[in-house]
Amino acid sequence: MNAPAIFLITPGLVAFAAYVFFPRRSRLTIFLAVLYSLFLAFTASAIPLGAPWIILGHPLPVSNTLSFLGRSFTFNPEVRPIIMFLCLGTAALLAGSMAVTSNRILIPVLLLVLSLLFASLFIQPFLYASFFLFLSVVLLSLLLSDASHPSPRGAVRWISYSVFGTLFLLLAGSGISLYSNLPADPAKLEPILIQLCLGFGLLLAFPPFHFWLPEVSDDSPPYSVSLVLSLYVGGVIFILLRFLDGFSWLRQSSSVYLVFLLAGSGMCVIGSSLSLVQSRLGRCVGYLSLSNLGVVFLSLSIAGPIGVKGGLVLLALRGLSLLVWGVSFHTLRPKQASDHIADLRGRAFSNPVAFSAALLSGLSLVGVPGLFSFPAFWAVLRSVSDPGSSGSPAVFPQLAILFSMVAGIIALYRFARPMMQVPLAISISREGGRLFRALLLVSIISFFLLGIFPQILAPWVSRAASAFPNLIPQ
Amino acid sequence: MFWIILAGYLLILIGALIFTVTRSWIYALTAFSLQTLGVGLLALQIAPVPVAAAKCIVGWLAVTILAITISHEKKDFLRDTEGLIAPLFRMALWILVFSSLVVLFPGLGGFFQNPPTGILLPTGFLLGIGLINLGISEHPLRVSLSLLSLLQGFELSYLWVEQSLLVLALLAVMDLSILVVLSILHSYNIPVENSGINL
Repeated sequence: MNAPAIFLITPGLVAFAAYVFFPRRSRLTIFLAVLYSLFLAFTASAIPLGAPWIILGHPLPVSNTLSFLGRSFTFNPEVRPIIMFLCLGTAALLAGSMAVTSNRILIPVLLLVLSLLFASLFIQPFLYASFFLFLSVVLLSLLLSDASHPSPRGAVRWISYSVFGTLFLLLAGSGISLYSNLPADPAKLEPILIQLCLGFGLLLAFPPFHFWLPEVSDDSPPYSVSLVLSLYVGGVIFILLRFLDGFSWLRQSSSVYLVFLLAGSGMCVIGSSLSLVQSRLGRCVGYLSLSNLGVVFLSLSIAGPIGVKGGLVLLALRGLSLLVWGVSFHTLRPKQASDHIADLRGRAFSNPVAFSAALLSGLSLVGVPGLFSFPAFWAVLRSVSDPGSSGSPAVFPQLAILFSMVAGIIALYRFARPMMQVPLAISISREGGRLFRALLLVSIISFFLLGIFPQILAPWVSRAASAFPNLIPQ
Repeated sequence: MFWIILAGYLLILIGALIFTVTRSWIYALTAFSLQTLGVGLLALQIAPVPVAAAKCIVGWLAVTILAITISHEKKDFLRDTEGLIAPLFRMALWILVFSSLVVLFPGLGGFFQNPPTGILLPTGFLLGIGLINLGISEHPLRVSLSLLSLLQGFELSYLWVEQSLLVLALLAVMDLSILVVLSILHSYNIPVENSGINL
């Protein structure tokens, strides 16, 4: 048995089967896809590497390397937690898709993207991971347009920016591999750092490379936007951490943490400021997700285990918030309907559950106290410090986080107020299906429950940080 | 080899000029095919014949996919309703890229671990042309050709850095996937009466 083949080839086969044999995306297909993702998560945790796997009393030899076209894909034990993280995240996203109507390629695309993200973790040398990230961009962009969302502008821009990001990472990769230790001449590091910053900046929509984000938020199905902003962004952050983990000179350079600090603060300020002036709800939350990503970067700017663990917890909570947002916004804005602030009047009365879930997921993205993101936000707020000043608190990043919280609340209030006004005519109808209401009610409860008891989720998620042994010494 | 390199240069320059100036799809696709042949010929300086041939085949496959997509749109391939000013403006941009390249040329080599001049010059030119075309049109199919021009430039010099089979295959997949996906996305935006595509 070949361990990488299970994670690289079988998702493709299942995706093919889902597309060909289940042309109508029934709940059964989704259920099977969720089971399959959970099976992959279990396999990642249970498969022995370097020893036979005993299944029903029969020993099966397990190989952890797959060779393909002269390069190897290796399943290293340290990537187990990331694979489980990705599989569980995908299972949650697939389960969430039961509550929305979307096109038939959603399941195949998600499974193929999962396989590409695995490939980006297995490939040796991992510098070529950027290829697989780009291919996942291309696949995910297929979800951003359909017959009811025909404008491809956002997806076209996203692909264009991602091409540049990939090329910069490949260039940086070819330069980075020349140095195993810190070069004596700092001038040699400068171009590589610039290329890495540009590459990841382009892939993560760092302003001014974020212009695809508002277009995608406006013109694409909300649930697909959530997938892009959670699963894909998570994949890019993992690759970024692998760069840091893989090169000692890079993680020992204080410039890297300073860049994270500046990028994070910038994303917080720019994202939340832009969310304040939006007149469309989708765009507003798109910018709030940018601001949220800024807090993830601020967490990563804290050198040592706290920063990486905090970043991963924030990433997981961001994924959950965006999942709930995608499902609820899908109901608040039916196909072809406007999400302009003037057209949302009274939506809280016609869709009370969806409205509550959407509002709470938005507030969770900005880290409002009492909700499940707040403990992680608070930890970052207390720990973030200037890398150049030996651990003393940095005022600007803390102010940036506080500003993003306040601005986010004001931005969401601007939209919530007309939605809560009594409409001229209240249309009374059942809100979605039973499953849809159950999903949103459970998510509303978990927003509060995990906010009060963060110890339920945080330790499990932070275990994924053990995938980066050089960043988190055991 | 000298004549092969010269032919490669001429094909890239002429192909890029026509591709930038014209809005007619038939000329643009022909120009891109010539440009692809030029890239293949220049790649022979640093890569074996099968690798150069593979670069050409990928480019021509891209042209074929685009031609099929456009023919489904039931548009006139020769449609070119612009006046004289717009093509002249784009020609000026082409000259600008060419002249800027001459000035910026010495600094480019460091990015690709100093490939030979015969590779670096067309790389810079294709990157410039790709960028300019990307900036002057948001039409998905135009964008796909611009991105492919840009990638052809990058791939030419990246051959100097890396020639592993997997990387070559991944670059080819990257090229073709951009084109296929942008064609599909574009098809959603075509009015039904203009489209023969059923996706």
